[in-house]
Amino acid sequence: MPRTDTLEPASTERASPAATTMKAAVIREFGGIDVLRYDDVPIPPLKPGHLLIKVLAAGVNRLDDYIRAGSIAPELPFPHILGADAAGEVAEIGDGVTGFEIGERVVPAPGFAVDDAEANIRPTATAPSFALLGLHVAGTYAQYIEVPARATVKDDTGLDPQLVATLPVVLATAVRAVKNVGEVKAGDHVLVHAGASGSGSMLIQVAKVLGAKVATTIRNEDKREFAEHTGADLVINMKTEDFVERVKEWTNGSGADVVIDNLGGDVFSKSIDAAKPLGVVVAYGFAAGTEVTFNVQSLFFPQKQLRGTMASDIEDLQWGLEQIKAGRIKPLLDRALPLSQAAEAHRLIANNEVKGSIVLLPWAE
Amino acid sequence: MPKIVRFHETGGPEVLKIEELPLAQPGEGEVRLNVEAIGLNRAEVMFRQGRYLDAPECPSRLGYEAAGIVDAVGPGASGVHVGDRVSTIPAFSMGKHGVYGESAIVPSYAVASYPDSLSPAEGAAIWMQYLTAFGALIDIGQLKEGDAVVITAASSSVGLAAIQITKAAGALAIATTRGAEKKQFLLDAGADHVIVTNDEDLAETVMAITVGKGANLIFDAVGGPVLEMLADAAAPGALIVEYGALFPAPTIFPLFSSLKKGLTVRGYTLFEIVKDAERLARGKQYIYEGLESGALKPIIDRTFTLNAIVDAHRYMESNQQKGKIVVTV
Repeated sequence: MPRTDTLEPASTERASPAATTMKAAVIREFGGIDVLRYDDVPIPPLKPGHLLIKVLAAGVNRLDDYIRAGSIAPELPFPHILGADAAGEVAEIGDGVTGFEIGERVVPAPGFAVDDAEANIRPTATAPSFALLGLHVAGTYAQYIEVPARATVKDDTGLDPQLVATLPVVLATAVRAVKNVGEVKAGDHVLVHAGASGSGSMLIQVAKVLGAKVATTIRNEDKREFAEHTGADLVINMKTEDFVERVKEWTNGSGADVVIDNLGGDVFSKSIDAAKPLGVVVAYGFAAGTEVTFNVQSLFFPQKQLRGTMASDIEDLQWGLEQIKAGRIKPLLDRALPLSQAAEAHRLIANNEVKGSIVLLPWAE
Repeated sequence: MPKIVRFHETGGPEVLKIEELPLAQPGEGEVRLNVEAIGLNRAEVMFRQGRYLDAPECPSRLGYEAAGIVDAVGPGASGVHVGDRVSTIPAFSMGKHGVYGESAIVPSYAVASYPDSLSPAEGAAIWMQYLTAFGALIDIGQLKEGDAVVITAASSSVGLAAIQITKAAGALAIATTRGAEKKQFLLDAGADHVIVTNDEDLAETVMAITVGKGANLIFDAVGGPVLEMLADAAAPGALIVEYGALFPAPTIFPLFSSLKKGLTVRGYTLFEIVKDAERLARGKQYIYEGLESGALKPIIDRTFTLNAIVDAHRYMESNQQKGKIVVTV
């Protein structure tokens, strides 16, 4: 990819579809937050069937921090643009695309099949050409992003793009985990870990929309109020209480219908114990560690199920945005920074200095 | 007085004792069998060791599967008559109704007739193996024509039943066995491919057999480190059914494969089927049809006499068997 190496700030006149370059936060090597460089790069050429989206706000995820540090994709080709979340508007429409208008508010799906022939494979993450924005293809830390129109959702939430940009990854993966993989139903008792985290609070909200009763764990007492605020019916301090026992009490001894294990590590085998016989444990993440062991007999006699999930389908994003539009789920924005401060955003995320999401504004000075 | 097998403490095969006990009368909803043959299961070994679902209350009977003739019917037991030729469906507590002995009393809903063409030894080798495999592969697994199925510990009675059910569904049966000595036996039993796990890489071989697609359904009795290999051998969206726990140590959950491929790892026992009248009825019909057509055919490895029950248990624990171990009475 040809590119310029100037670090001068962009002028807004130049950065339009008629221009050939755009501002982006680019990495050319793995490392600390300083490897994130605010640069001019070519605007990606528009392919048939694709849209060029003007990014109004780009959401920052913890995954971006891991990718930048080199711990997720050590073979990543450089230069690379991070970012899986965006809210934007249609800037240019590729040949053969119908149903979109210039200027229309849209959200790109965080993951999709690159190969058109695999467009209908579900779960999308199982398509051989599956790509995550900002990992396998150029991401959203840029003024423009080029994506398949079939992987783009209309944004009719009426919300500020800064709020919408916090959503796609966390919302769609939570919908996938709770609604489709966990098959949570009204009246179910559901356990979600880390209820004050971004993923935890979204999992709680999705479970509440589905009519479930939700218990959640925290590790610090000062997170209790926040976890309650997101809708949890029961907040358990994992440091001072045995969450398996508390969930058993809460369910009259039977255990949770569904446990969403967004922690992994040592917590996972206890999550299995917290599920009722014939219950479901959804493996959703590994923030507490990737070494997970369990006793097969703890699963086999009570006929419990462990179900893995990763990423999401475009239908999950659509369903989630409908809930947002209806006001049933609230986005949680901590702050917005100009794209030129992407490194600062990563510092804040890595240091856990945020409550809610950070978004980057590619058009702000 | 009939001879009944009981144990007074949990432990090795030697704790099994043959005792003469007074002939008991069937109670409300129960029937009594004059036992002709007893089918042995891993469940009884675990129960004897105190490692099973419910803990034994000593002295305890044991045993799930027997074939025999009904010789007494208790009050309120419907649909069963003295003289009926039946075998037992494991839908009861074996501590209470254990069938190891010359006489057994079981709930009337837990007996079923079996085809005249089968011997009592074969009749005692139907319900546990076929209902277990039916539940996992057909009822839960929704096995389809063209699916690839991996069956571990395939030489067990349940493993062999799974091979037969897989073939009957028009799916590909990939059996695994540790050593080469059972390979030909498994091919003869209907497996399309046999992977000798001591000599071959399980995941690589499954991928080669399925042209890179992986297995859609995995039926695993082992657990332990095998689970990670099975997850590597799985197709996206595959179901891994864990129905045994042959491996005693903690099992590593294949987190990355599960997340990436959207796998389900599901614990399963046949009680899920036999406690649900509708699913049990479907399973029985499926099995009767399979026995009738010849698609399902119990494979008996060896028979022992009741007096040799300790040897029979020892033989089961040796893992040498190729099919069902039966005790004739």
